[in-house]
Amino acid sequence: MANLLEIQNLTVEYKTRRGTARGVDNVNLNLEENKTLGLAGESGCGKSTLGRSIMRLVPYPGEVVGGKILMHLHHDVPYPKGVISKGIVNILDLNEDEIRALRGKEIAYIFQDPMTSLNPMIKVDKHFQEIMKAHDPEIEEEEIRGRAYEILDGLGISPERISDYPHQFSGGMRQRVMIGLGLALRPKLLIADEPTTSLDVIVEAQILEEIAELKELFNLTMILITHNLGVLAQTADDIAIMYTGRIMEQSPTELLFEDPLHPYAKALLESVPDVQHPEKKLSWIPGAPPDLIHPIPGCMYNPRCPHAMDICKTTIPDLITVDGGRLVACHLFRGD
Amino acid sequence: MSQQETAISGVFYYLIPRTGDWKERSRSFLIGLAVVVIGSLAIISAFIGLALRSNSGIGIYVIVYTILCAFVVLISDAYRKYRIQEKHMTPRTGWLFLSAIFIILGFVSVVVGLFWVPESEGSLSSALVLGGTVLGVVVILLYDGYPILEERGSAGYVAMAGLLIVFAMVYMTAVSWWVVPYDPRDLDVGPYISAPSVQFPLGTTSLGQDLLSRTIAGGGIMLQVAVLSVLVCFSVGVPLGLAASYRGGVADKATSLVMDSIFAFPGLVLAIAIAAMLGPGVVNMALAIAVVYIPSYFRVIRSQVLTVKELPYVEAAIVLGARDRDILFRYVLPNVLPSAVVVMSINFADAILTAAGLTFVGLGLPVSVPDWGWDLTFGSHQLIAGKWWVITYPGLMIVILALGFTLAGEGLNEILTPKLKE
Amino acid sequence: MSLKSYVVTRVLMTIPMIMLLLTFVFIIVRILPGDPALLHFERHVDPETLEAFRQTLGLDVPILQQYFNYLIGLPAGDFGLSMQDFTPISEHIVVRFPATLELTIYSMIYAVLLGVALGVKSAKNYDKTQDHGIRMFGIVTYAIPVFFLGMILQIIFSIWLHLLPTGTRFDPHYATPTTITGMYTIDSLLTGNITGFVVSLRYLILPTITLGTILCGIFIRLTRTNMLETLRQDFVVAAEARGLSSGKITYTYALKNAFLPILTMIGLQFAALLAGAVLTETTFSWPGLGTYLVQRIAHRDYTAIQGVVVFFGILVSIVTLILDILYAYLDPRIRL
Repeated sequence: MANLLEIQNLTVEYKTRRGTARGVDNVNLNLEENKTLGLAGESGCGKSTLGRSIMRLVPYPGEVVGGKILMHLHHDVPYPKGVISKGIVNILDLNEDEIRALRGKEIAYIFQDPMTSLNPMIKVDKHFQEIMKAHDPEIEEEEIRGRAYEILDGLGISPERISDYPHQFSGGMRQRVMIGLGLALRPKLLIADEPTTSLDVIVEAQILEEIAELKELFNLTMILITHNLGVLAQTADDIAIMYTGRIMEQSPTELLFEDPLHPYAKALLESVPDVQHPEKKLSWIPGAPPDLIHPIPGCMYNPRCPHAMDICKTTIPDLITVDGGRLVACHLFRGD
Repeated sequence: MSQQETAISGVFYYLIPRTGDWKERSRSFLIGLAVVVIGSLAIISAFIGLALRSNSGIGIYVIVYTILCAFVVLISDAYRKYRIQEKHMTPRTGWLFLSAIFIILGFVSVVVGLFWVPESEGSLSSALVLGGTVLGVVVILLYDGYPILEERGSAGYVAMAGLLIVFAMVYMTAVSWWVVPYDPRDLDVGPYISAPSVQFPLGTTSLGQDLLSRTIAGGGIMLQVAVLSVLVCFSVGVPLGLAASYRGGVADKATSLVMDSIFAFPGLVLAIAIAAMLGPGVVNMALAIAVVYIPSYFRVIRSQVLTVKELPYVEAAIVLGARDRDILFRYVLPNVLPSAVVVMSINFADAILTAAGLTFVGLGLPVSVPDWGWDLTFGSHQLIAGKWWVITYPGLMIVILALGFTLAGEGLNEILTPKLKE
Repeated sequence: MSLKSYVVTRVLMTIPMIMLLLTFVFIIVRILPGDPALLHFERHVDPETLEAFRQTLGLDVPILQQYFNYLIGLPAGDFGLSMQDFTPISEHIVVRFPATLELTIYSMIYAVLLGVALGVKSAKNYDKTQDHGIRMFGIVTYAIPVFFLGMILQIIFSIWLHLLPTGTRFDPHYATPTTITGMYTIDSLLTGNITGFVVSLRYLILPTITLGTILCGIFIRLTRTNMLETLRQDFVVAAEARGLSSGKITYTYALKNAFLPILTMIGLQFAALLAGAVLTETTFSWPGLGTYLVQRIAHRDYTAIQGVVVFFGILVSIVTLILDILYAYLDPRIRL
């Protein structure tokens, strides 16, 4: 299967008054088409920044300082001032008009909190109108309505509600509206940033199911960003674990849960309660992530790692291929 | 460098180049710094050059004397810090020590002034006292204040810049009479309204006065009026605000109504009305301006007090039986003062601009005293003939002075009441 | 609280404020200097002339009765008589006020437009050179005395470059537009007098720029702060992620938010506007109420000063009242 997205040596820095912090440090990531990649890690590990940089929406004071984000376009993407030819495109090289053409149309982003992500002052139908008009100024009212109804219907929202304001929906419905908006233009890539974190468990389960269905229906490729490994177990094909802006391990889901390679991944999994073994003692990872403004040399996990060796304190481990397909960045492993 | 050495060396610590840091500093910062340093040096050398040719003959000595005073202050401050580090002195005693130094210097300056040029009848003394004190304060500001302000980033620089500008102006005005090439009041020292030349670098006025001298010495009235009006404003507005809002009830509502009425009025118009009826004079102008700005203090203090009054720890104090007076002074006042200080610096700027406005409208002081406002007013008649220098330089001085206060206010505002976080 | 009750309350509050205002002015002009009539005559004047003088002006009756007459007279439009020629002040006000009104309206429009435009630019270039430059500009314009700026502009554009006229309100070679409102630009338009319109506009340019520039600083700051806050909201980033253009986002989302605060600020700045107008008129010899006031000062015409100051005070109160009601009408929180 071809790769829809290839991230090469991506580095994002945040320049603050106290100093510069690397939110994303030399990340390499490949995303196969029609697969779901889970991006997991603690708060502040860089997963959101990574997701946002694919859209080139890194918040101030962040800046992409190096690397490539290559996307495989299967068709030409026209926009008012020109057209992006199909093929491999480096997202970081595009100009403002071009990246805006891609946003919403080829790549969609779903935010964590649907209340604040929807404009409280305009109705839902206006939201659809805006996004469709932004990408196709000639589009007719009829068509907008039609498509919007279709999508919302597919998400279980009755058509009359399209004339309501965001605050008139419940949390779960709002998130569905967000998803609907995200999929309105049939994008190839959907990046969901903590899509269910603000929802209760039951709604969460429903939404995850619906997302899985939609993914099948629209042939989506998805990146699911969350700190909740349980969610990823359900929906992701592969999982990448991030820590201090670096990828620590990337494995197919089942393999990761059965046999985590990286000590950090192991520790994470141990800290998640297991329904089938309720008597299991919950463990936690001692210590805390380092301050990224003053990074520690070598592998930044080493102060908390039970297997830390001398080399871990001096050399950053490369992300190497192990067992034919799994990636891990740890000095405990030697590549194939 | 050890903590101790850092403490003692104050600002000088920051002047020592640390290679890592300097490379990181943005290019615009370095350019700005270069401009500031070169500019200040240029101004200072021009000033000293002037002093060498001064009308009074002793200009350069006056300046040297004030620098000596500043030096004494510097050494005393270093000594004070050293003693505090060594734990031989508490911070409070340290400040008393410093104040004592200032007072002693003041006395010495008075005596020196009286003996040096007896016929000056104290004006030399006041120049020396004021000049020495201002330079001393500048020294302390740089020495003690700079590290504190620098910590706060760009807002600190802005505040520092503003304060330095203000003090520089005050200093210039303080020593002006002894430094200027011609007596600012002398008429006919040169041809009427002549353009800037070598002999008269800023040109001459319509009465044949040297504009350079008038520009250097013209700030006195404005500064006096500003200081006086701010003093009155502060001493009336703050207690009024505290009392009214803390008491609450009818007194609060009534006073607020009165203050709102004044506040709603166009400031200058009210000042014009008062000044016109009171007549000319520094005190009258100051009073006119003060009345206009009292409501500003009142409102700010009041809103602060109302907020603080509701805070849990104030309630707790009341429950524990604290008296009103205690609460007011120990809880409310410290919270309210930072805002009051910010209002004060803006107040200064407004006072200067209003004073200039009043002079322009004809309600200023007698002509004989050199005053930027008057030069502007008289100069305005020369505009038609294209004589631009008569208004430009005095006007520029007013702008710089007002700017200094405004910058200080802006900077202090960011520092004391931080709002927008990155 | 409903709109109606708000309006009623607000109007009721204005009445004591105007009363206080009137009382202030009365105290200042009649009581403070002792005897304004005596003050008017610099040299000693014989008692008979003085007495006749005071009688004509109504200054001979007891103070309280003077106060009473003064208060009664105002609603009827009696602003007193000039000390110079015993003409009613109200006549002078009617003749000269339109010039001031014209100047203040144009200046405020200019200040708001310039301030908002620069504020938006500043917010969009947050923390870059443009931002710092514009903020500095706002600070510096605040520190310049308005008459100084006026004089500089006069010298540059009138005297040196001969681009714009100055020194009065209209070209003496042409007939002034027929008086309908007293505002030349509007009158010219109403009577189809294009030449008149152009001429009066040319004379308006310099004073408007002077007064407007001094006032724009506060609008720059207001717009900037408001924009920065709004632009950081999640729904703005979400809109960007959907591919909406930054122009659309700025103007529809963000500026709509700023509209009400700007309206409030206009009300708050109105007093400052009038104060600045007095000085601006004097600088440009603009024949408005401001220059009238200044002339009266030179002539020690204290009753005239009182009349004009009272007029200004009442004007500000009424204008702020109207604007407050307008604001309440537009703010959905109060309306609904």
